[in-house]
Amino acid sequence: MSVILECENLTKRYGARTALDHINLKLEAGRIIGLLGPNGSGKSTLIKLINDLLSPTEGILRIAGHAPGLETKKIVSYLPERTYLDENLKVSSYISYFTDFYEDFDASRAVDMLQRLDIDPDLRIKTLSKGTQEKVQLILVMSRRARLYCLDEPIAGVDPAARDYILSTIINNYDENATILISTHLISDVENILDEVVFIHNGNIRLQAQVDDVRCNQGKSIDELFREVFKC
Amino acid sequence: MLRKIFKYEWKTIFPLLLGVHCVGLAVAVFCRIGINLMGGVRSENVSIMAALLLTAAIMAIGCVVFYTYFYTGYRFYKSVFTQQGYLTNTLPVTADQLIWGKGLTAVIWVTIDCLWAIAALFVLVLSPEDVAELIRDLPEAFSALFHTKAPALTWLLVITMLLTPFFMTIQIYVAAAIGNLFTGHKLLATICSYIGISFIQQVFSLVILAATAPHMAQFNYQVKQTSENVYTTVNVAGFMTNCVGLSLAFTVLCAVGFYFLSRYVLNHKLNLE
Repeated sequence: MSVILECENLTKRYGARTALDHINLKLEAGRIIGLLGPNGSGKSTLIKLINDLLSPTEGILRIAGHAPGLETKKIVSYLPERTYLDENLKVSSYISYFTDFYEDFDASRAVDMLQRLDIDPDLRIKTLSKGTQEKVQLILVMSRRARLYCLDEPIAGVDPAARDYILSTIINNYDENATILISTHLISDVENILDEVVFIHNGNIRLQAQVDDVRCNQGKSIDELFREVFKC
Repeated sequence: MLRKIFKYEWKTIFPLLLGVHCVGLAVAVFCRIGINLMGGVRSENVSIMAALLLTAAIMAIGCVVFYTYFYTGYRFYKSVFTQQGYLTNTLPVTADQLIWGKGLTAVIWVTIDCLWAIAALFVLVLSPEDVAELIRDLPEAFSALFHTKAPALTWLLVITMLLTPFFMTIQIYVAAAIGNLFTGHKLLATICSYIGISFIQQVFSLVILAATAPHMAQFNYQVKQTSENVYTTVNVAGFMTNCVGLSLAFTVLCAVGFYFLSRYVLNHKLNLE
């Protein structure tokens, strides 16, 4: 398996606060990886660094051998924890927008997913509920044939039915050679789809393990292990 | 990619700015009709209402001009440094393409806006006879502009006019880029940066002019000697040419500096916490 993501002594500080503290991490391609940790542990910071939305204070970050930049933006699909859609635009405008900018965007797949959810592409974003806006954003992100998907808290703030839809969308719409990095603190909802987990706490990697190993060797679910590791 | 950035930026801001300019023009037309009904503003006894209408219309035109400029700047701030920036900054485009794509849209709108403001003012104050006379005399006036004793001054003023929309745009962009460096209240930081940049620039401009003006005046002295007295006069056109040239050079230097600073922030100091 090739390495899709590599961090060497990666550090990010916001003034005096250290969000990531010299982390070393290597992720292999073709896996669904859970980036798990409590709020404020550094998950979103790591994902933003991967997407070139923040610059590291120290250390090296490589995605498929490239530093974050133009080349990596072509192969990384990012779902932020907040809605980035302009509420005055129509859903169909975003289909055209993604088609124009991303060579790997599959418009027919996006339209198909919208139809299944009964979302009219001619509606403006502002007329959609918050949950539907999040689904539209997820559809756009998952309709790319990217090599790395970074999903930051994709199921936070949505009802259980929507969570099921989001998770099934993620599983059904990714290429086997692609990697999905899901950041969340809602472990029990995602653990069934994960191949690997990375526990992060206070900007440090606490654990990196295969899900099957945890279950077989330690006889625990990821949720149980998470509660044990991050016990207050 | 530059073309695509430009296309989407244009499509996004076009409907709103078109509407604002149509409303502004309608206000100018209605004010003109109102002023005419009150006897106009050229007669000796101008009514207070007519004068008030004229003032209101000029203020409305000014508001449209300011709104257009600050809206294009706000669009850059919003699409690059707020939540929308999560999409804009993950597009496979370079910082140069982003600045130029969005910047050209802003430059075109600022230029349209200036022409629109002139047209609106014409609607407000000129009569059909004035317009006909203006159109008739325009070629001659243009020709005269470039056949003065100081054609360089005319050219410098023309270049300054053409570059001003670029300069205005990059100035507001660099303010947004500096505002992004702050951890909180980024919009406020952007506004303060804009005011700060304008102030510093004015001070520098004045200092440079104050320091160089005496030397430039010296270069342009014309000494006319008569049998009794020595008269020294300043060649005003030459002096103005040097002043405008210096001011233009300073503006261009600032614009280039602002461009590279904005580019640097987008490439290395993006701060979308």
